[in-house]
Amino acid sequence: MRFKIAFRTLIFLTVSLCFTCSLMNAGAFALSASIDKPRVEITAPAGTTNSGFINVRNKGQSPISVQATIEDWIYDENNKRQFRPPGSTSYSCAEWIFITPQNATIPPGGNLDFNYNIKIPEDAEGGKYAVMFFESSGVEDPAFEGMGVKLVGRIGSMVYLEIEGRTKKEGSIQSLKLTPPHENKPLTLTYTFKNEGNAFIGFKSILNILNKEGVTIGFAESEKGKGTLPGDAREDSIKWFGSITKGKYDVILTVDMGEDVPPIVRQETIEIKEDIL
Amino acid sequence: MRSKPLFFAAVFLFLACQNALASFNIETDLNSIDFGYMNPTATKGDIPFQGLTVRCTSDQGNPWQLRLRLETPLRHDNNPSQVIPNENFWWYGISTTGSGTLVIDEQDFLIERVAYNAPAGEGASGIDIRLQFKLTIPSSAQSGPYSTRIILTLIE
Repeated sequence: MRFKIAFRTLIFLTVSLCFTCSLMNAGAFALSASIDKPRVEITAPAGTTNSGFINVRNKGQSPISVQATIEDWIYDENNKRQFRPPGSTSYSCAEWIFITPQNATIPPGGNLDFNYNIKIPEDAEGGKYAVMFFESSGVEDPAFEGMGVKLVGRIGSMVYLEIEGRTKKEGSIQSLKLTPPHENKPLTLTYTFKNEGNAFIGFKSILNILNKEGVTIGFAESEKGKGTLPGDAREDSIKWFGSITKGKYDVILTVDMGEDVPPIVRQETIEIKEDIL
Repeated sequence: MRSKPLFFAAVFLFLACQNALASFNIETDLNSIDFGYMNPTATKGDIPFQGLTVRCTSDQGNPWQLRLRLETPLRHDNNPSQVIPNENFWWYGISTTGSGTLVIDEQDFLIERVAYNAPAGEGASGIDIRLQFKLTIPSSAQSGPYSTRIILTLIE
């Protein structure tokens, strides 16, 4: 009996806490919108139509007006993603995507599924990329008396589409430079990765240092992965801070391009001319 | 008798799911920013006084960004050919609760720019980013109300 009372009390308190937190969270912000899929990854044959939905939720206390738009994206020379009008890039699929509804009002606490259809043309090949944006703003226009700026929250769902059987993921290592450690400076490997396939490749660099017995004495990896579209070349750099005695070592660079692509491995020899301790 | 615990458990699961669905979220504490009345050549900075708080939440584990751009230049409500150029309008970050990179130098609205870069794994319980704005009115500006929209974009 005591167990039952304790169990009910626990459940009651938990539910009350969740409910209170939910109300507190909702009340803190004037504008609040969320989506359930910030990334949509599809692999499908050419000539097919693929459907899905993005759920947009209003966690705020006022209604929001939501507008769905579609754009393309590319990387600029600094590896920063830039958005472009539909159909304006070589790897665009924005013009293949149709979203319904395009506009809707979502009440406080409510949510709505925005359905998308991606019609892939018969002659499509490689990887194609776009972004579905959901712009949210307050429904009522404020009555400005001077310089008034309305705020719009826009959330992007990145679309990564690969055409089944027609996608090639290949890359190469170019202009590799290995700098030995010196005084306080680390051993540094700098190279350029070139995407030579026809689809997006995200890559990460891994460095292993082996002594003449083939034992790993040092390991490092790049701080974060980088993305490339076909034809893109990106420089990456790995630094290794550690103690090493003078002698010859093998340095192995592994470029990890994801689960479904074999890594690129390059081996170099380096001579350390002074003990670094 | 047995149905009551089941009912409570169902309610608990429902509420838990409500939060679980909110995986990629943007919130602002204001719907708009008002610079009020300004004279030609006047400059107003640190608007809004308390800062605009943008809370970004992501439980996806991937890096994400908050970007800012202006939809159009500030445009006269009654005479759309009269605009205040984007280089007269600036934004800057003043604080964040996150460990990512916040841009704190003044940035104009000539292009879309990244205000905050979050590292992978950050933001499951929400990161607050506080921003302020500054505006200079050109000497040739026509009197009257001007308006535009700032687009705050959250992407992975």
